[in-house]
Amino acid sequence: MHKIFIFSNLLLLFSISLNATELKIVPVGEAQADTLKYSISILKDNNASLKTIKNILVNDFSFYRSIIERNQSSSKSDLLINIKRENKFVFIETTFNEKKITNKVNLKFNRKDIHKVADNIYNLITNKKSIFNSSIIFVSDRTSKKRKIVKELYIMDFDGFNKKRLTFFNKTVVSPAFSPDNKLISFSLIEGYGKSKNINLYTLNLQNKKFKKISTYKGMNSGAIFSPDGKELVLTLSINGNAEIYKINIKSKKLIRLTKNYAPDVDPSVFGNKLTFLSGRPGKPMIYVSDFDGLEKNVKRISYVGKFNATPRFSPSGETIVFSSWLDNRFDLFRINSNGTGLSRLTKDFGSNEDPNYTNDGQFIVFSSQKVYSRSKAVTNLYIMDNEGQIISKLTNNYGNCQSSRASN
Amino acid sequence: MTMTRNQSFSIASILSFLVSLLLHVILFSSFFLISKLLLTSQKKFLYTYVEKSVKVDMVAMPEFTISELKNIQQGDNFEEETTIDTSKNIDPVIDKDAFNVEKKKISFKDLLKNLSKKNVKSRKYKKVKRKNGSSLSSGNKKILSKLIFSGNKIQQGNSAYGNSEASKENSIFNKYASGLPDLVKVNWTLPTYLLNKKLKCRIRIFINSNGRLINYQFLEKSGNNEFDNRALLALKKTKEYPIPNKSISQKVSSGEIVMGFPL
Repeated sequence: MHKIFIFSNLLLLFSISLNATELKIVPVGEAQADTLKYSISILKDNNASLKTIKNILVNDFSFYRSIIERNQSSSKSDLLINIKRENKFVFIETTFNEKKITNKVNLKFNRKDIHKVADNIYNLITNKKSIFNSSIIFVSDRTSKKRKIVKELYIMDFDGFNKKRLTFFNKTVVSPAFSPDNKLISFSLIEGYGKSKNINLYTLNLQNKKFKKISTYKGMNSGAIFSPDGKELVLTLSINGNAEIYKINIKSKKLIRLTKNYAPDVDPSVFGNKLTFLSGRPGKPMIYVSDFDGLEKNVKRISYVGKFNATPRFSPSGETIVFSSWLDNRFDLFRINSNGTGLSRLTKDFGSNEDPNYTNDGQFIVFSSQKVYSRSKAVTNLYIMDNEGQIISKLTNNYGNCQSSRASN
Repeated sequence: MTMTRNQSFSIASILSFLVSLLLHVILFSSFFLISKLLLTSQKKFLYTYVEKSVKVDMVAMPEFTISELKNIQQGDNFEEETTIDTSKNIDPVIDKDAFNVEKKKISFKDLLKNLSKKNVKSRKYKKVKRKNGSSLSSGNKKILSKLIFSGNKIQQGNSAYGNSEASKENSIFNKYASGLPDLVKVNWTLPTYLLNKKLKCRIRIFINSNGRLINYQFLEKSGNNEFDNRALLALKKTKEYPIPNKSISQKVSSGEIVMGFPL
């Protein structure tokens, strides 16, 4: 019976193979997005607020210039935006593909209200979240006095507007990061002088503005980022002299070690169950990935070139990692797939670029760029570019030296 | 009449043979019918994947940015190769003095002395005006497109990232097929609301010996008419397909290539 079964199967396969034609499937790959044309107009009104709304919307959409492009004539537009006023309210009507949405804002609006409208329109077109509601935190030395360098934490909208100071320590704040729900910010603070100098880890609750000390181990408690569930912070500690990566539970303060090597391991970034970090294991700082749930679990080196690589950061999809690397006497930004393939250069001839960080939608990268004007003068500002290296906008100007930017989730 | 024992045995064996034959016939015909049934449905083809394979040597950080590489690729229009005109007199490149120096066997001490005496000539460099926009001039683009970029080294490879076994065969047909996506992809666009919806369609294409799309057949549809039409449009917009080699023109024109959108 068994033999008959095998024989019958063989016969069946043979009969199929005799009749089948062999075809070659050639994958074309993912399609490019059509650039949509939009027109925006104010209906018979000279109110200055309406013009401001229009300008904010135009500025917002200019970030996604490869997806949505302004068209002066409404007849050939895919998307029509009409702004009109009724009493104390402004109505923004959007028509796209026979769908119509109306957003209502108060005549005394703030920029965030209009960003929300822009996000609704973007969502109508793409079914995706935009960056319009996101914020960026950064560190600036604008309150430094002569020789005393002070770096404080600031927050601003994605487009560089609404800058606000968040800390008043009169000390140096380093490496801030948003929690997954954007309610907490973690950062490190350099405290003490001389031998008692220590880099301690804090969190700031953005709702009640309260600070909380998380980690004060001797030495370095820095470079922290939140775990995907927001319950832990992944940071670099130098408890035993050598910099290693740990995770610390925010509530219980329980410490779990993630890396163990004679070489320093720093700059962690997490996506799902994957951790990427910088390690000096091969003699030069190179990028590694490992599992997030164990000590030295599935450690894999993914970068093999570069004199000095720094700050690897996962994209929101976890597919790519952006990092900076020392090349031609300055830092430039590069991108690599998280499996180690597809190394690409993003910046060139644009000063020294560091601290890259993806925005929540993965379409943009926020980074700091230092321009040297003379031997004694160099200014660091924040910029935003698309994920292929096209500079979109300068985010800070005349705001001291700005660095360590992080976009909200 | 009574049958002998031998006769009854032979009848029994004939009967068993007939039963066995009948069973085999039923078995075979059922297999045949099942296979026919299977083949008359959509699964009458055996599919193999063809992917363009590249061997990437990562030797240094990439020198060119993504946008610079795109500019180079756009400017690369398969221009005629430059040939050296050997009819003209070419100055010999050999430096005779260099050979004389070798013959004299100068000691290291003398060499250092000579070097210290040597006057360094200051050269005047012409200022080169940089054009606005792209940092690469069109002339440079042509040259660069033929270079192997340090750090962006890409070769047409034998071993590959492409997983398919077929691509490794590197046959003419596979080479032809794997070159098609680059041509079609330029026209393969979707409205934003159709992106990331994980839609998929497959179109069988028939290209004649002049490199023209003469027919097509949807083997798989996505379920979204606009997606399918856009995929078809991408094929139709591609006006000039490469002319297939004579040895493969029969295969190409008989529709052995299936374009997968996206896979």
